[in-house]
Amino acid sequence: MARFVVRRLIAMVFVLFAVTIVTFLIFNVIPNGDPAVRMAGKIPTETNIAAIREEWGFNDNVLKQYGLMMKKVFTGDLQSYFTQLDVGEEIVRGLPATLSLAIGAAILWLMVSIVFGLYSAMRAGKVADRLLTILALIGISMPVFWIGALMNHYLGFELELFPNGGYVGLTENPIQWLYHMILPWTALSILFIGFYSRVLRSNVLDTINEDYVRTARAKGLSERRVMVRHVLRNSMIPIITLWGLDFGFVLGGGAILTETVFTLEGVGQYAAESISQLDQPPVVAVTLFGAFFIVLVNAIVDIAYAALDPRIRLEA
Amino acid sequence: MTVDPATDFSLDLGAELAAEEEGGGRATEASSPFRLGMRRLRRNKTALAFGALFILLVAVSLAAPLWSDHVAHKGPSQGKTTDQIRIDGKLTDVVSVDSIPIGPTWRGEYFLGSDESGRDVMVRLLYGGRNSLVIGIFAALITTIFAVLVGLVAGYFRGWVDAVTRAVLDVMWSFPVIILGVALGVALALGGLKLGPISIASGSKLLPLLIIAFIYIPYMARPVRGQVLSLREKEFVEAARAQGAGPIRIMFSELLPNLASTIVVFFTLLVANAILLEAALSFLGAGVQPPETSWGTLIESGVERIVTAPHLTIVPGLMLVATVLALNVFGDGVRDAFDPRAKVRMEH
Repeated sequence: MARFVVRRLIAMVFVLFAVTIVTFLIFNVIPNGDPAVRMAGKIPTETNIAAIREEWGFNDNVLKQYGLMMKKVFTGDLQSYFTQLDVGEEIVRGLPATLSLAIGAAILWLMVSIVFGLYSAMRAGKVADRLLTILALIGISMPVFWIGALMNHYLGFELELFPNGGYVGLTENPIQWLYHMILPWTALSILFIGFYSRVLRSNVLDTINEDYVRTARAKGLSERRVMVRHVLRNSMIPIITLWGLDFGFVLGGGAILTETVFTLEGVGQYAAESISQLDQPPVVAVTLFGAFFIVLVNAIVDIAYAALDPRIRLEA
Repeated sequence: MTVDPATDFSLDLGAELAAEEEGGGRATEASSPFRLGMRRLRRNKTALAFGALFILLVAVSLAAPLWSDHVAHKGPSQGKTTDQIRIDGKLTDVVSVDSIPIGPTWRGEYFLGSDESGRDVMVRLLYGGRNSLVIGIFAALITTIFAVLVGLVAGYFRGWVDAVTRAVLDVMWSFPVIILGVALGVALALGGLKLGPISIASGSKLLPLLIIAFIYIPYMARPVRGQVLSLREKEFVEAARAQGAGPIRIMFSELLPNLASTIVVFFTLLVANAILLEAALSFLGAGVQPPETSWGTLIESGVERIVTAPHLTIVPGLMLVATVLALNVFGDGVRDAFDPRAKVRMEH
């Protein structure tokens, strides 16, 4: 196990390095005019451009430029030339909201998917199953920013059932925090519930025909015990892997759209505002951190999986 | 987002039909897997109906100039806030004095109402739909071509070619789809792209198209490569090699036809995902740039005015959802018919 972990972590370091290279290539090397002008954003000034050229070493060779960019990103010396704010500080400030959104939504979508998926499988082919399947298909076809905006407008603004966007810190006021998070969690979860409940449904249908399930029934276990202990448990393995990866995906960037719609003022909304201003330094940071997060979560998922299933660590 | 339709059969129709067919005598007839797939697909009425819905939506969007010339009498960027329209005999401002645009009139002009600048929502919806669909379909086409090429070459030659391709694809895979799209979109939005002889101006629709096409390559190249790896060990490849066929001929006339099912399955779902990604990028301002429109930019400008004119958000969103839903249901049917065990993992 220790050997597997070490090997997986070394591989991770290589991928992280490659990710920094790709990010550098995207922002500094793609041939399309003066990178200093792009870095200065939508409304560049002459002095800004000259200063940026000097600061980012755009006149130096590529290797030195790469070094400078990484130094800026990792020493927290990255600054927006549009708002004059420190990028690192802004990201740290947005983290609580982003984490609240991602963690809460991940729990919500997993729980609801289990209920829907299991129910769908037990009623396979019946009306309830078809209805849930249709709902799932509609769910995966809806852009989160669209359904989120409608929910925020109709449930939040018109009916005043929920607050109309905004974020309240968990430590500030836990009740208000929960109240403000319900709509964002739901909006973000819809898509994943659509996918997961369908995957779970088919996994359950596959498992139901296994010999050990027949054995469990034959020895007189209650239907509930068979479904939960034998069928559901074994159907969950692929779901949990997906869940880990998607959680990383949401934290690493998927939350951008949801946060914007509900004005949660997290990292995602900061990213979205920077994007609409074509404010490049924050986008560089968010790209890099988003990818880092995914790589990290992938490694954790792999290691957790290997810990649970010895075949995997022996194979790799 | 992840899709693992490996085991997931949407309305079960395809799977049922396939089982039924194996029981019946017709399957014993010698047919290529592709023809068998087509036959199964033809019998899946739900999938066909949604496929037809998609074609209808494409046709409607293609007819945008007809609607704008003959029914609405307005181009997508024409309109003034002072414009008026005759409803039930009396003249009404399309944008009220409190700058609230009118909602659907259900008449030729301003069929779906007006936007904040007095432009006809229906006309903009149709023109925007053209852009969304063109970007979705052609991005999927480009992804498919490159993914198949990469998969064929990597899977056929193996060795260092494969190792290098896999490493590159893995790194691309590490970026969340939306982040990679946004990063490329922001980097290219000012200044456009100049690659040797190719030069694309900033603000061109080609930029989001190419960005989306590029991003999805690993999602399709990986499974294609996997399939090529197993196909290349088959007897028919050995037979071709014994006849003196070179790598090019083996790749394109022996292996490629056997990839047809995989390609068809992926293509449909790619179009759906590309349309959604275009909308997300445009919503964030890193996709289609004004004055061009797409469903994504329409939703983006609609959300800003959702309090006074919710129809500006609802209308383009419904079109988008209808299109993607049609493609998803049809794509499920295609997968059931051609390759029920295909593993598709995609994000949007």
